[in-house]
Amino acid sequence: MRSVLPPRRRFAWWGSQVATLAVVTALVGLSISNLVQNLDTRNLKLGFDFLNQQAGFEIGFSILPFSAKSTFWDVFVIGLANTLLVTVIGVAAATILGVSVGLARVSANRALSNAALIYVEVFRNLPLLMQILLWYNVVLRALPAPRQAYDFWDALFLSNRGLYFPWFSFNPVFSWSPWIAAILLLACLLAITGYVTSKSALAATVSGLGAIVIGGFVLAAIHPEAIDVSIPRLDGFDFSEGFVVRPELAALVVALSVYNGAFIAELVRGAIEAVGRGQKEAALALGLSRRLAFKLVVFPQCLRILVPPLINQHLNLLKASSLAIAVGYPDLVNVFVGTALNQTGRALEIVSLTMATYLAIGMVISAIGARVNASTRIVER
Amino acid sequence: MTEFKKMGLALLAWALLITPGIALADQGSTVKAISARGELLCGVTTGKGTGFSTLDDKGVWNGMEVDFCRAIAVALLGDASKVKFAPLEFKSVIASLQSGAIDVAARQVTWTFTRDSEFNLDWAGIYLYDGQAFIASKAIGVDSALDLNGATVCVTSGSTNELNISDYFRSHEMKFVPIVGDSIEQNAANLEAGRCDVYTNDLSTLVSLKSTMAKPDNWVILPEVISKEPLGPVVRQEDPQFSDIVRWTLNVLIAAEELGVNKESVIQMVETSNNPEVQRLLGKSGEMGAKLGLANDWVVKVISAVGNYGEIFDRNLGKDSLIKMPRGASALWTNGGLLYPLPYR
Repeated sequence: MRSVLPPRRRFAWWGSQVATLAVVTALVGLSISNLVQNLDTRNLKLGFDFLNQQAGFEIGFSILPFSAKSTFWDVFVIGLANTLLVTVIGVAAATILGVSVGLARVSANRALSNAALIYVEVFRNLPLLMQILLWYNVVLRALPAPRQAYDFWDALFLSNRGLYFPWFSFNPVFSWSPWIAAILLLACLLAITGYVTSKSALAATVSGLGAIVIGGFVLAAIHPEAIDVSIPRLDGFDFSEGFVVRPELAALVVALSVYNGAFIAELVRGAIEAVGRGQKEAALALGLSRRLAFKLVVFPQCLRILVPPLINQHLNLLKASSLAIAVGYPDLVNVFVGTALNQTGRALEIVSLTMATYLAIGMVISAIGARVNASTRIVER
Repeated sequence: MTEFKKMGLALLAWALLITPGIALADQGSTVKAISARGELLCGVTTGKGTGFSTLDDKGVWNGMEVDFCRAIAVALLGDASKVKFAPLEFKSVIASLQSGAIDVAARQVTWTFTRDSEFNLDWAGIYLYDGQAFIASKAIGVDSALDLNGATVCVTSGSTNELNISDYFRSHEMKFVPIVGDSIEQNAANLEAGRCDVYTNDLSTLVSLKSTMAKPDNWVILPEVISKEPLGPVVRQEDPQFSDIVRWTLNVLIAAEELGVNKESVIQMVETSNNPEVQRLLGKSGEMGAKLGLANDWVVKVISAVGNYGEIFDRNLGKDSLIKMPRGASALWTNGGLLYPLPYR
C-alpha cells in the first residue's frame, strides 16, 4: 500500500506512525516513572507474595471449597469462579430469552409481538443497578423467614435465605467401575448409531447423553444405595442438607438476563428485518413452507448480522456482573477488590490483577465469537 | 449508587499512584499542603453513623469524628470551619488515605499490627476503646453469641470484624454464613429484612444503630464482646510533624478533661488558674505550641471550639445524645477507664 503512495503522502504516512508511537511511549513511560516515584515516596512495595498469605475470613457462597484457612490466591480463584458462574448462566439465559422474545417481536401474532415490545421497552430503559436492587429488595425480601418457609412436598423449600432442593451425591463406597464402563459403552454405541442413521451431530449428542441419564436411573433403581439423596431440612437458623440457590445469586442472574435479554431481542429483530424481504418472498415462491423459508433462507443470513453485536452484549453482561457488590454476591470484584484489598492494603496489585482477569475473560469470549462469526460467513465459490 | 463511588475509590487509589503531583514525603509536607490548601481533608463515616458523623438538615456535620476533624483544623488553621469532610465507607478508607485523597481518617479504624506496619499508616492514639459485638432481633430468641451455630451473619466488607468473626466461630467450633455489606445502612437493611440472623460490628456502632431503629426495643445486643477494637485517628506515615499534631490534638482533648478545662471555662482559666499544668496546657507559660509549629494558644482555641474529650463524648454518644452510650473503657483512667493523657511538658 505504501509503495503506491506519492512521496509527499508517504512522508505523511510515516510521520503519523512515528508521532503516534512517540506519544504512546511517552505516556506509558510517564505513568511508569510516576508509579515508581510515588511508590517509593510512600514506602510501598509491589509484589504478589501476599497471595500466599492466609486470608482469615469466610466467603458466604462458593462453588469451590473454601475456609478461613484458605489463602488470598484461593480468594481470587473463588471470586473468579463465582463471576464465571454468574456470567455463564447469565449469557445462556439472556440469549435464550432474547432470541425467543426477538422472534416473538417479528411474529405475525399481534398480541405476542406487542407483549414482546412492552418487555423490551421496559427492561432496556431501566438502569441495571436499579433492576438488581429491585429483584433483591422487593421480590426476594417478600419471602418468609426459614422457619416459615414455603414447603413444597416436604422436599422443596423457599424462604428469604434461598430456594432449597434435594441433591444427590455418589456413594464412594459403592463399586462404580463396572457400571460406569457399561453406561459409557452404551452411550458411545448409541451416539455412533445416532450419527450413522441421521448424519446429525446434535442427534448423536442427544442420544449419547440420553443413554447416560437413563443408565443412571436404571442404576438407581437396581442399587439405590449407590446414590445418596440429601433432602433439605430445617436445622436451627437455616436449612441444611440439599442444595440451595441464594437470593443474591438469583437476583443478580435474573436481573442480568432480563436486562441483556431485552437488548438481545432487539438485535435479533434487527437482524431478521435486515435480511431482504425479497429473500423470504423468493423462498415462498419456490414452494417452501413459512417454517422452512425461515429455517433455510432467512435465519442463516440473519445469523451473520447477529453474531458480532451479540458478542458485544455478552461482554457487557460479563462486566455488569461486577454489580454483584450491590447485593453482596461474592464475585471477583466484591471479594478481591473489596475484602482482600482492605485486608492486605495491596490496591495496585489487586486492581491490576482484577483488570487483567476481566480483560482475559473478555478476550476469550471475543475469540469464541470470532470463531462462530467465521463459521457463519458467506462462503464464496 | 454508593457502590459505584466505592468501586471508584479503589480505582482512584490506583489512578492517583500513577498520576504526578501528589507525592510529598518529608517533614512538614502534609502540614504545608494543608496550609496551602487552607482546608483539612478529613475522612469520616458515611453520613448515617449517628453520633459519629451525620449531616443534619441544615447541611451541618455533627458527631464525634466530625468534632475531632474540627479540633485538628483549629489547631492547624485556627478555624473549625476549614474542614472538608470526606464521607467514606469502611472499605474505601485505607485506599483514600494511602492515595492522598484525605489527610487524616478520623473515622473509626481499628489499630492493628498489619495496618500500622505494612500499610504505612500511623495511628495518632485511641479515641474509643471498643469491641466487636452482635445485634439480633428479640424474636429469634438468642441470649448469647454461643447460641449462634449455623447463623447467617451480616458483616462489613474489609473490616477487622470480618476476620474476628471467623476466628470466633472457628475457636468455638461453630459454623456461620457471612453476608457482606458495604455500609451500616446495607447491613441494617439486611438485618431488618431477616436476610441475616445477626449483624456484627463494633459495640459503639451497634448501640448507635439500635437507637435509630424504628423500634429499638425489638432488638437486643448480645452480651459477648468478642474482640478488642481500639479506634483512633490515622494518618499516612510520611510527615512526622503532622502525625505529632494529630496525636497531641487528641491528647490535649483528654488532658483538658482530666484538668477540668472545658468549653465554657477555658478562656477564664487562662487568667485565673494557678495550676502550672493548666498554665502550660493553655499556653500561659512556656512556648509549647511553637514546638509543633502551632500558635501558642492553640489548645485554648481547640477547647473553645469543640470542648474537651468528655464534652465531645457526652454531646455525641453519651448522656446528652440520643444514644446514651456509657463511657465504659473510654472513661478517664482516674474514673476506672483506659484514657490516660500523656504529659504535656
